[in-house]
Amino acid sequence: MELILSVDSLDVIFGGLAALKDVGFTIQKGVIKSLIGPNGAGKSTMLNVITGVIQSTKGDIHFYGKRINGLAAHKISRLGISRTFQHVETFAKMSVLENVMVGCHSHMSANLLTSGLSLFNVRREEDRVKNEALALLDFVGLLDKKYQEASSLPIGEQRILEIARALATRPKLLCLDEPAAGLNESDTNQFSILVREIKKKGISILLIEHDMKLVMKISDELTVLNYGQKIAEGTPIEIQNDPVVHEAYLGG
Amino acid sequence: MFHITIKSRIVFIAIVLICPWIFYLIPAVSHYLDILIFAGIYCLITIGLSLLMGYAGQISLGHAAFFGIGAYISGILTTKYGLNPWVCILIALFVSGFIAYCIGVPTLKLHGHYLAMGTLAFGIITFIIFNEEITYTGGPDGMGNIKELQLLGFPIDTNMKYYYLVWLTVVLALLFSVNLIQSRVGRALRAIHTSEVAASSMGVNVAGYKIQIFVFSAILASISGSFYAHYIKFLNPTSFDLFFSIKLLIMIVMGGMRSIWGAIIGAVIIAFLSFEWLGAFHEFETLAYGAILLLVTIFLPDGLVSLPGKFSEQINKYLSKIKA
Amino acid sequence: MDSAFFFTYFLQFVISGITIGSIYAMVAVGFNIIYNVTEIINFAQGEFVMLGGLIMVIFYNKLDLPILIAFLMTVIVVAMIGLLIDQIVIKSIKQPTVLTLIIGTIATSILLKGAAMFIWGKNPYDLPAFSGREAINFFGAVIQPQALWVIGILVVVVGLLSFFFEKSIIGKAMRACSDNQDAALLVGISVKRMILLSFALSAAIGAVAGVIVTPIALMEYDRGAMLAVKGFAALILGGLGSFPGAVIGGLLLGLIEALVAGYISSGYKDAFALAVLLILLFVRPHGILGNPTVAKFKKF
Repeated sequence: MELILSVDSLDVIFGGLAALKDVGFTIQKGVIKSLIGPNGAGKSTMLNVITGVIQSTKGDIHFYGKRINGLAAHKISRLGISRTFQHVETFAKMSVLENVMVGCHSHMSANLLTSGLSLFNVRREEDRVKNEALALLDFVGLLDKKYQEASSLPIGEQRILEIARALATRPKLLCLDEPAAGLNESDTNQFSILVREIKKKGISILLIEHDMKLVMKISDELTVLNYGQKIAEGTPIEIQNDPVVHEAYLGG
Repeated sequence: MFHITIKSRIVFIAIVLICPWIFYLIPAVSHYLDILIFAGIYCLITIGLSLLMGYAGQISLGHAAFFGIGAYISGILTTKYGLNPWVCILIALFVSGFIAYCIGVPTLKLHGHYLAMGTLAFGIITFIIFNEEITYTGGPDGMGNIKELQLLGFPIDTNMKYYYLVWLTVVLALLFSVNLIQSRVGRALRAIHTSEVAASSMGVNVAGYKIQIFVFSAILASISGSFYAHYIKFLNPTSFDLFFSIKLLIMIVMGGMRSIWGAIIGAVIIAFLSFEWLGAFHEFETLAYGAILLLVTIFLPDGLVSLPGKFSEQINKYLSKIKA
Repeated sequence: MDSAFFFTYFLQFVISGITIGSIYAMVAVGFNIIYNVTEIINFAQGEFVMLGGLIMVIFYNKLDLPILIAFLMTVIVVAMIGLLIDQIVIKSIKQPTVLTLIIGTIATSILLKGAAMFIWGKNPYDLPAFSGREAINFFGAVIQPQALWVIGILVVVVGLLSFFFEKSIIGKAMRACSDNQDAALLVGISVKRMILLSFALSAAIGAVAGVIVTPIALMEYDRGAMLAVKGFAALILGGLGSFPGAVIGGLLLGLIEALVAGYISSGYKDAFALAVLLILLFVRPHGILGNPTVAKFKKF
């Protein structure tokens, strides 16, 4: 298996408080890895550091051998790490289609001047990207809502839209921050099918999720965080039988 | 609101072409042509500012300075050094763009109010320079004798000709901006306005686009200033003071900053307000503008362009009530 | 020029720099009070100073009230205007973003300026100095007694404020709002009331600055914008959010301005003071005392 992401002895400190302390883990190609832990364990912080929204204090993150700590978020996105957000961050006043087209930003070349002049190759690129975005909407099942304003979708569909938008960046690693929050049971089932489909495309997934049933069902590996530190790592079965994890969830 | 149809573009161009003849034929309002030329000059600035405020979500309080730089560079280089006016417009445009870049790079990487304060400071500094460098600008007494523009050997010597020069430039700037909004760049800008974090996570270079659009808006303001200098032929620093920057802000907010049409509506209304309707009440002018800005901000945050939509919404509500 | 003469001149510039710098410091402190509670930069901050000076003119020159009562009334009236700004403007903005809040406070500033022009006209007004205008000799330089008042009142204001924010319950509650509004709500602090208070307090400090500077620099309707942007420059110089920073920034800015006016060009003194702001934004946007990592966590 090919190693794509490695996190080594990572510290993140906010005003003297350690949100993450000496955390390390790896992600292989085509694997669904879940990051679990009680509230405040540092899961979202971890995801924000990997995607460049928050800077780490110490330690390394390597993606395909390149150190990405301190890179701007848009540069990390261009390297092939994309994400969704815990609190939905769709571009509210844009159409569903346009939301996905923003995701295509990195593999387009039109600039201020060529766009303003609407040159022939700009229009050709627009058509290409529009088709690509439509295909993605078809893949996630939102094709019939393509011209609706993003904010008009129910929250579950907005989460799916965020996944389509993230896929549009052509990621190698997709980070999902509580994607099933607010979904009902049938939505959740649909979602787990979608995640498996994404995995089939060879895209690795880093998942943060509170729905343990879902996590145990779809994950290949788990890393458990508590108070900013890694307390366990392994397959779903190993984790389910780990006394330390039980302690953290029930005893704490 | 963002999608601008081909039809509305054609209607706009038709209005621009026909409008002056209506005023020309009715003697009582023939001086409106003059006001419309000023309105067009303002439009060039507000189109750029609308992209900056409504799309990139940034605020500039220094566009009077870029307007002034355009005007004074054109004025000084043509009268004192006898350079070709079109070359001067180009020089002015590069200078303004470069200054905007220098101010934009540090301030746009920071949070919202830094650009506002930075441009406010820059605007005041420029105003002081216009007043102090008497050898070049004539200081508070102003400078005159700026010649009219010539296009391919033909002098643009009547108001009608100048109207078409200004407004056809507005049309070009508008079409350019409309294309921009509906492209990769426009989507990126709109994305930035809603969520910078999400936009950057999708690969959008947030600071980079803010800087680009700020420079673009400064260039448009500079061109507008050059046109202003050749039209009015006399420059005085008070035309480029802080209050003019605020007036530009009022144009955008009043028209509606989330639409490029708002920029045009606001510019035309404020031009008529300052030259025709409010001119007689000089004592009230500041008070009136303050009140307008405050009322629009509170009661009509999406500006005048949102009125028709709100109106039809109300009618629809009423109609559905009747049906039920 | 002999060295004693040179020194006297230099001293004179330093004195006037510190005097005017004290005013900038008070404007900067006013910015900070609102910013620390709400993360709003109030663009109408300079208008409080202008109103302070001009309202004092009414109470003291026109109505002949005793100076202390006139001073107190002025501060109360301007503080009320501060309250109104929060109640009428800030609260009515439906989508409070950086952009709309800036526009709202700018609108307020234009409105106040327009109202002042309407009420007081365009002429500058003077107020009598608190203890006469007989200059005091100080190593050959002269000090206006009013300048001592200005510096003294700055010290008192800053002293009272630090006591208020460090020791009093309300001051601590206001600081809690700035750290985390949700948490403040959870422990029962009324965030709304704290915001209201911050506007009143900030307006009151502006008014104090206006009353004490008018006998030195006169006051007219259109001073607000320049005072606001210089106060902001002082704020950035000292580091946004820091009170000691605001004072040091204000004094430094006043010094720079006075020295430029004295040695380079009086016409360009304002331009230099503002150029300091632009240069700072380039090289050290978090100021000389500010902390860059803290600055990143601020919302706006």
